[in-house]
Amino acid sequence: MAFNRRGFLKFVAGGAVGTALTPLPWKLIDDVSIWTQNWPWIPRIPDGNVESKPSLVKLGATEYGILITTVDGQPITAAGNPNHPLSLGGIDPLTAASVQLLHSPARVSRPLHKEAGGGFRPLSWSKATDILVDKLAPLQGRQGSVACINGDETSSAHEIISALLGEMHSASAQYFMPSEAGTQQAVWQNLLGGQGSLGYDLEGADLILCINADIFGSWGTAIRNQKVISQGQAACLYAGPARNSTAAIADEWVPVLPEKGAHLALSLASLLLQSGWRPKEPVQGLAELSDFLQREYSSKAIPKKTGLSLATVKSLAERLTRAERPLVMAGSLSGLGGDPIILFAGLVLNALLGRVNANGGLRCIPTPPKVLGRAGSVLDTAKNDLCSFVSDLARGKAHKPDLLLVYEANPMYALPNSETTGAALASIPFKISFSQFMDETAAECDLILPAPYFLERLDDSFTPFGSGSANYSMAEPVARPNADVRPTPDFLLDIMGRLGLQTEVGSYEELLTAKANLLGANTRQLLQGSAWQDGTTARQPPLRLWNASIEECLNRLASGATHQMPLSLAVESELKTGTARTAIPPFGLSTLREEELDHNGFAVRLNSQTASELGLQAEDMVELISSTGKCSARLLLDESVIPGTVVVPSGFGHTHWDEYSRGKGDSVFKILDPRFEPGCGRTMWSDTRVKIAKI
Amino acid sequence: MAKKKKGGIMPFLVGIAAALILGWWIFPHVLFSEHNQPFTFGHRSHLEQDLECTYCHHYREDGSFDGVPGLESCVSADCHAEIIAGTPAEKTFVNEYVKPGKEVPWKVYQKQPDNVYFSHIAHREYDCVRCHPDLEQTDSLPAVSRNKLTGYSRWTMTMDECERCHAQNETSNACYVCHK
Repeated sequence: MAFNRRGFLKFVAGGAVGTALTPLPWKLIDDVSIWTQNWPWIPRIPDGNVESKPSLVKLGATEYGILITTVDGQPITAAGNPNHPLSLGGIDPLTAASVQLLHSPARVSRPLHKEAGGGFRPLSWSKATDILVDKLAPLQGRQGSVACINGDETSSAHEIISALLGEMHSASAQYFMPSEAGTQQAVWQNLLGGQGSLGYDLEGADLILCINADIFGSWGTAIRNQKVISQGQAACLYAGPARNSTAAIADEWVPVLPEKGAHLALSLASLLLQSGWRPKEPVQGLAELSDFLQREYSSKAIPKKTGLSLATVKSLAERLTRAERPLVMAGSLSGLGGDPIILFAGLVLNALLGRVNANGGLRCIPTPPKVLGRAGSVLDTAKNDLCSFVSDLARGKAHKPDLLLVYEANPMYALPNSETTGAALASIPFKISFSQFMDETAAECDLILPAPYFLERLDDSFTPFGSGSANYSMAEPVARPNADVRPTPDFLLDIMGRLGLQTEVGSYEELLTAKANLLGANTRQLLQGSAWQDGTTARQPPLRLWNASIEECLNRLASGATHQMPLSLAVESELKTGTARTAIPPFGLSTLREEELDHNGFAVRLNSQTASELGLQAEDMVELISSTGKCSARLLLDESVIPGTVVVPSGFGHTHWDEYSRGKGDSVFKILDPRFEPGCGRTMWSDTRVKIAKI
Repeated sequence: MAKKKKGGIMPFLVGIAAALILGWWIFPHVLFSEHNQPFTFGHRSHLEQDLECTYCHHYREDGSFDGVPGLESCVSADCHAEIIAGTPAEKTFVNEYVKPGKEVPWKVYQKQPDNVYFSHIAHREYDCVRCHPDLEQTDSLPAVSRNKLTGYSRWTMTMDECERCHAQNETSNACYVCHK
């Protein structure tokens, strides 16, 4: 057998035929196709021991128990906790993306100190501690020299911060970020003489009237609200300017301009009183309220005040009186505060209906206990108005602190009129951020001391805003820290020790255990994901339904279109685009439709009738201008928006964070127009008006 | 002339033979790598102790399958908290895993990739060995044979097998049944 060229070709041909008779080519094709589906950069679920660990979400929106699935200790996914009363097995889109945020490129991986040139230099925790102690030591005893902005109203970290500021003689300079809880607390206690804080007992109600408050989107305990209403035991009516989550789900939606929500609540109160309805429980100021409503909200005036027909308002009033257990949930559209008047009007309406401390009504939740004697009450801190302080600071009318602590908050992004207020905060000589992420505020601070992400730390939550009764949750870390972080409460206890200040507990864990003991809660059960609950209500003396200053507030409430500012501004908060504290997560970004966000920016929504009147068309690039600033956007026509209103989503326009949120759209906070309402003792911006111009 | 013709077909036949040897014998050995379990385990000896299969391989409360038993299953009821049989495998297990509280990194014979949703409880009416290797009467565990290209084990069920069984049982073969 000669193995020449011809022989070789025959051998190859035979090989080809033989190969076709083996699995080799078919198996290789199949395996290569699978191989191409498994590139190394495609995330893989690791093999290992799968566990479900309870945790407690803290991302700046509603807080509730969740279950984190871990594989060999590494968190993989988040799900609702069916055993937690504020989750009932549900989860929101931001929390669903919370595990991903553990690995965000925006995580601050170690303590950072700002250099003269503006860049950051890494430093050790011991060096960072020395710097902070050196800054704080000379400020001891100087009243108001240290301020704190805290973005977590429910955590016991507040006690340690409050004790530190109290010891530094700066107790009055502690603020929470603007929120519905803070605004309601100010209105409830200052205007109505309410006790404790307020809860909404949805579970017991048979009719729920929501005015502006997007209770299924981002207002209050949104996930619990969804779950409770889905059981079908209560009818739900919504009055608001656009089809948001609540309008889409409610049994009936009554379109109302944003600034007319308070007028609607007071019109309903007026119709109740006109029909001879009187509250069963004793109240103060009923005669004065009645006189005012008769004068300002007569049947003739109601259509003009509300923009609705009298028949529509009467129908709503009749449904409220016919219901056995009605509940009115009135609040700001964004769920971020800024509308004390609608809160007042809603509370008055509930009081007239006899729904205070009633089954299925408002519940007066007793003041939470505190462990540290030197800490101030969380409810008192909630009444401090940060917006007012920062506005005064910007105008040079407030005492400027020497040092600012920022905990779990991003005020330079999320305060109304953010460009001006951000500049005012930036003027404070030394600023420290305890942020997990390089957000807008951290980037302006002199020292960044990264705190653990909520999945990496021990923390608690007492009665998040909107709960039906007092509740307490606690969670321990479910993940190993992904960065060189230190729990802020423990760090501050160390600082207090270094400064020679009295510390009543040795650690944050000790504080939380003591708090659980004070409540009579079982710490072990809390850490297993259940919540302590207590339906006890605070005894409520007769509420003050009338306050002469309210009349001034209502008169100042923007009453309609003007030539200069023809549009009402409706802020829409959807958790998929983050919160005031947390930017859009990558998973959230991928859920945005192209019409919501594209390379031209984010979309604001107008009714086609309004757009036509303003000479605008769909897809026009526009600029929204208020008296505080401007933001640019793309115009989307949406017939589910009431004429005369522009809907602007929040959560866009970040200038820092990571590639998934930075430079996406523009920030609505720049155009929110805050003003202090002396009658309410609170800053208001929900009636911001804007004009719109084609770019 | 005839000789020349015979010599002419030989390279072709040799080529076929070489390809068959390569494709049926060498290729599978090259494509797959063998991975031994951390230590051996005898299913038969455990069944002789009157243990039911479900004692170790059970469904969780939510219906999901626990799959490979964890350390807890092995040390509960005082089974292997201490050395009882004294075999080398048990000594390895107790000393290297039980005492430090470390889970055994068992190598799984059949694991579906992340893009496949498979529910054991939906298939509970079928005998386990319809899909899994029958190890009931064995005293040791075979090595896991893993595809070097795909990373999948040799026993990983392929999509055509799933589809065939679904079709035979008049169950939907829609994409979303397995790919969520």
